[in-house]
Amino acid sequence: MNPEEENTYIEDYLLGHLSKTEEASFEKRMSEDIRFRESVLIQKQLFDALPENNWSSAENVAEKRIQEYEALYRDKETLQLKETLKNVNRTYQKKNSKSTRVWLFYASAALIAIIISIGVLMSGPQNVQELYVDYYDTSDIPSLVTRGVKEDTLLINAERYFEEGKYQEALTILDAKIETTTKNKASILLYKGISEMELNQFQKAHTTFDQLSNTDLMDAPMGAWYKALLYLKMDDPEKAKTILQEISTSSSNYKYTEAKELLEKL
Amino acid sequence: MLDNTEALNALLENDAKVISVMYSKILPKVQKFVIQNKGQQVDAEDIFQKALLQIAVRYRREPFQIKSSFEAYVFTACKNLWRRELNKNKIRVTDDAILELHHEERDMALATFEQERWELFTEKLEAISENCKKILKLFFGKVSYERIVKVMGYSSETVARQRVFKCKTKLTQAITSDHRYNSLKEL
Repeated sequence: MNPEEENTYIEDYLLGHLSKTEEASFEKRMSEDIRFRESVLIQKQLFDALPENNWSSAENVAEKRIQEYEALYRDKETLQLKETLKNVNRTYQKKNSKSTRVWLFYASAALIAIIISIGVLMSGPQNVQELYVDYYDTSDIPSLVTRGVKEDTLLINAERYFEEGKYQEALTILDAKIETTTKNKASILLYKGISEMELNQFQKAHTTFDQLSNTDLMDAPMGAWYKALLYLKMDDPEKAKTILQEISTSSSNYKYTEAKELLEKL
Repeated sequence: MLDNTEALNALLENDAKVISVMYSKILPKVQKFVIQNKGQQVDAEDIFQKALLQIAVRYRREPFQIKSSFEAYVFTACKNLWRRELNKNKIRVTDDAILELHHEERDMALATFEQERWELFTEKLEAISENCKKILKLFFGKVSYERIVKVMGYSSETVARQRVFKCKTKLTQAITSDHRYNSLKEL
């Protein structure tokens, strides 16, 4: 084998290009031929040591040198230096975290100030009108149109107007309907009252919710809740409170939980 | 800037004042490197301490000259200790049998030995021609001959093989003829 052939042979071995049998005979030669072995090992180390993502570790090296270093690492002077390094590091980290803490303190103070000012700008103290907005929710009121009953296009339109916020249009239909209807009257009263309330026709709304409360219909209890909301809208929290207190006397009442909550906020 | 001799002497004399300058000047860079390479702040502190101890121990065994700046020298030592650490973990994951439990001093002794050998290799690599250096970096980076042909603009793979062979021979001769090699070679 000339030097170039031998080189290819070694490369093939190190790059894993040899078959199992070839590998075995390669390793046999390594154990017999010291010069060959040294040539292989130095190339292996270069493969390990040069690329950044690798490292050449000492595997079978002169124990004398290693022991010499071990002794040096164990002696008094090194241990003293180690102590000094630990202390310096501790001081350095402390100083560093102190400056980080100071920085964090100012940063968080500034952040809190920003949050507070945004909060003030956005909300201000919660007033009665806002409570009205928070608690006004018509998503759970019953539909005007009873299933199974012959379709009433007028009521369907009224409900659609109501949902679209076109309370005046809804009211025109509802006012006409209230005269002719006997069944399902509570719902019509409810929609009528809410529409009036939304249109700031407070006196009318008040009368309508009273009418609703005084019926013996299933939806009657809703009248009390909406009257309370009406008072909030009218900026009369005291009257609202009186009604809410009534609602909160029994957990079976409509909007019992909300009534209690609202009372606390008022 | 730390003066090289002053810095080395500070390590021998336990000079906390000069050493604290090392911490404030060099450790942040080491931290950045370690954190960017799968490590944490504590790893960086550990590596940094080991690197300074390593330099002190080596200097006590046999005084040497630092050709670059002290900062760059410490940083390289840290980088290598971290490469070694990552490589150790790699081996640990793939083959538990390879893992030998060494006590700390022995592990540091081995790391020091490996660092010395790495320095001999890279010093010799830096000393050969630019062209050879480029080829060998590709070759030892396990870049295929096919690719070396393209990167270096050779006419054929045979030419590439011949060039690699020549450069490799130059490098290994430079390494083996250095007096340090005898005590650094694998048996």
